[in-house]
Amino acid sequence: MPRPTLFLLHDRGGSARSWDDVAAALDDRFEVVVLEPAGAGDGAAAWVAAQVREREPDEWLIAGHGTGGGIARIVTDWAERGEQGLIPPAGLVLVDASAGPDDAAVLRTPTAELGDPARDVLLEQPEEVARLLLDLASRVVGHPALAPAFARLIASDRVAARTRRAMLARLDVPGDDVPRALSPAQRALLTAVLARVVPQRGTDLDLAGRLDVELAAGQGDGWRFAELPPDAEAWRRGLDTIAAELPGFADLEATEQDTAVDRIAEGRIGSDADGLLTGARMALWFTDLQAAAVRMWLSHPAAQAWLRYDGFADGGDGPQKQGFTTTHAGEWETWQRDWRTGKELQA
Amino acid sequence: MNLTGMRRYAESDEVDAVVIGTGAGGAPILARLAQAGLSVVALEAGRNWEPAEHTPDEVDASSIYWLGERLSGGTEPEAFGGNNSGTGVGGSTLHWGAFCPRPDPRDLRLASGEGVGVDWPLTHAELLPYLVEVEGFIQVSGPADYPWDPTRRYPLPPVARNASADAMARGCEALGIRCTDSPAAIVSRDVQQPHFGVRRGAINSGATHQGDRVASKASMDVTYLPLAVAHGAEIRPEAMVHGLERDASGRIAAVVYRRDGVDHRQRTKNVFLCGGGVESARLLLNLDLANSSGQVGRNYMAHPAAQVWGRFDEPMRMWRGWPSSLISEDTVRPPDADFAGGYLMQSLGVLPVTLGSSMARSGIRGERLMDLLESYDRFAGIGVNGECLPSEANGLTLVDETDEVGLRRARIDFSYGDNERALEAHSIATMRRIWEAAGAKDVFVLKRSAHAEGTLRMGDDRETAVVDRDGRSFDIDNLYVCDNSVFPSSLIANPALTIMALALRTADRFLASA
Ligand SMILES: Cc1cc2nc3c(=O)[nH]c(=O)nc-3n(C[C@H](O)[C@H](O)[C@H](O)COP(=O)(O)OP(=O)(O)OC[C@H]3O[C@@H](n4cnc5c(N)ncnc54)[C@H](O)[C@@H]3O)c2cc1C
Repeated sequence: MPRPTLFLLHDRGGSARSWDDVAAALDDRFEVVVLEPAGAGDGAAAWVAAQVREREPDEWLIAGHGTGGGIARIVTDWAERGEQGLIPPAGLVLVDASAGPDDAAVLRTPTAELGDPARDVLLEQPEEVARLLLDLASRVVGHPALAPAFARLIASDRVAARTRRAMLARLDVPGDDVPRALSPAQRALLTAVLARVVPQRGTDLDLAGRLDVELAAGQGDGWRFAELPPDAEAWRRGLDTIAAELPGFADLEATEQDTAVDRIAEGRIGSDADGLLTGARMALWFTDLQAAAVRMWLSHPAAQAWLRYDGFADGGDGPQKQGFTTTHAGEWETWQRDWRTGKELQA
Repeated sequence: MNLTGMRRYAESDEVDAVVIGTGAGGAPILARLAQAGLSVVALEAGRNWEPAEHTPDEVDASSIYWLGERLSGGTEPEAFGGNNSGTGVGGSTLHWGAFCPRPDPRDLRLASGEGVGVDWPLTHAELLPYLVEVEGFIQVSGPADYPWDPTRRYPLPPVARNASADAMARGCEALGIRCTDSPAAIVSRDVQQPHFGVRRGAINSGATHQGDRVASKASMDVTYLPLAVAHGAEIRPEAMVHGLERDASGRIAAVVYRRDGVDHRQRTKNVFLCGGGVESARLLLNLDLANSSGQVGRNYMAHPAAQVWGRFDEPMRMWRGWPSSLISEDTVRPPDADFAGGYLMQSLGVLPVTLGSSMARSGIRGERLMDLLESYDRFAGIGVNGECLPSEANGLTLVDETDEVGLRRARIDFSYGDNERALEAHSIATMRRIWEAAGAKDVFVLKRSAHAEGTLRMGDDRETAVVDRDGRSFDIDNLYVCDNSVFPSSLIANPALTIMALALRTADRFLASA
């Protein structure tokens, strides 16, 4: 395993030397690159981005002190959106720099902060800073949200900015504060059902949580079965019907769950009770559930990498779109990889 | 599309015509009437797009799907939204697959030929010059020799075949089934499009379905609509029509639409309703207009459109290339058919979200779903569109739920009859044989239906049809309809080319009568 690269940015008035003590305490976990950006803001960030891009690290973290922290934030924000050809960093560390501007983007990247208005933490507590970095790295390194080669494809000029934004936004995990349509119990049951309907390979997404948020948002897909109530209500009733008719579903063995799922899909599980769905309606609802779960899963970039799909990379935002130059079986473009493994394609 | 500098009319102006909807039906009419010097305004519920604004992403592209909720009933409840219903300046052609076969003459005379269904009130010969005109104007690519019609010529050479097409050709050849490059409403090289500019040659991307950023695909916003605007037509996007006002004699005097939450009223001498197979009938039913026959909403039809998929040893990467680059018309009248009509076959490349959801809807789930998807990059598909007979049982009605503008929502009931079931089974058996011959493994079938036709059928008899052969309402003589809804029988060809041709004819008949 190559070591992750750690980029260090100093404060205004500081220098590369500011990080000496921290670097000394980091042993050799990282490939350390101390950068000396001039100034602050977008200009400095663009220079830093170019330095990162040039080294093409598969995995990287960035730490900044003071104004260097502000620069690190900007670079991280760009990288999360795949801008400037950057892939997202594994982690961000801010030293004496936590008070970003109020309108600063909320970042998805795992972030650690250390600061004390009364003193210069970097100078006085380098071991603390090093410990913070190692601690963060031990949590995040080796678990990239996207395989580096695929992340680099998304960030490349073969992909339109709108596509890139839409894809990378799906890396966000819905927070606790967003509206939900299902109760915690309904969601837990849905999680158990989806584990059998879409036993994900290559990813481990909380599909139930994502679907719940989508149901609450209420943006349908243009139609529903006439026999069913509007989507969110149908899902609540469907799950309540499973809970009522198949109590203990979540605790069954996988093979027993599969049998139960087959019976739901065949319309053999249902109830005439108020607020529940009949067997026939359950069968209809279950086709919606399966389709929605698969759609949710396959729209995630990590699932697309697992599929080895790269059809979104048909051209960036320039007037000429690169498209595909090969169309036949067994042929590939020079930039194509086996995105599931990250390896070169072989004849 | 570029709408800056277009001519604008005041709402108080009584224009010659208002066209509702800018898809395959509305756009050619708008252009034809404007070219004839008429004052015309198009009202389009969807927004306006520049080609470069489209997003190659299956989920994000829902911005070009008609997402107003529809209720689907019957034993073959049809999927709407991304499956068959678009919106925006250009209508469903923003999103269409651009597979562009001509209708077969026998399909317009199904009742005479096979004793079922109905005949079209107009002949194939009447339609033919319009089909040729449309193919020329939108610049269809196709083979030099079309095996089933030696006289046919396409303006541009075919687009590149992709891996699915190669595999299907292999299978067909082994079985003695003729096939060739598909007629594609995608330009195979850079061309000039009058009043639009350069349409770039196909970039071989399946994401073209989600809106074509280089305008290689003939959507209306890069073909007929720029022509219309150049001749003085006005297009008002995000204008949702929900009312038709009539004068004392019962003729339509104004069209009422909502834009930015405010109702507007455009005075007009004539109305062309081109909202598509569901929306046009929904509007008329809501307004209780043009329905003395009781036929509004009846005879809803959707093509049986089964797909058969298989896994190949080599990586196919079917998202490269134009998805449906191979066609066979050998099954237009299969000799061993135990049903009326026939079907067209095309090779398929389908993007992951659409294909995966379709598999899930067909009941493929769990480890089997994963096992199959593990080889997604080795898949290739074949699909059909087959005859659907009009049926009393199938139709569109209104439910009590209402939409944002207060119109009641539509419920569409659709069930296959014996003919559709027999045809579907035959088509699946044929496709399976082709894949077997081509060496496909893990073959699986997805049953589905596509397109939304009928509901405002054209005919010669005012008792059984809503509009006459010229698209004019039997009840309201300044109301015309031209879109998917006027089809009296489904035809097996994918509908857009026929709609465009019919649109030009409707406009010409109107101009001749005025
Ligand atoms: C995914 C997909 C793939 C397809 N592939 C093919 C193919 O390969 N080949 C083929 O031949 N056909 C294909 N089709 C079908 C083809 O696109 C349609 O048959 C054709 O566009 C229908 O034309 P239309 O005029 O009836 O309706 P549309 O093109 O749908 O246009 C109707 C327009 O009216 C507007 N509208 C509706 N109601 C109102 C209202 N009340 N007020 C204002 N505006 C309104 C809508 O927003 C829409 O823009 C495909 C369709 C889809 C969606």
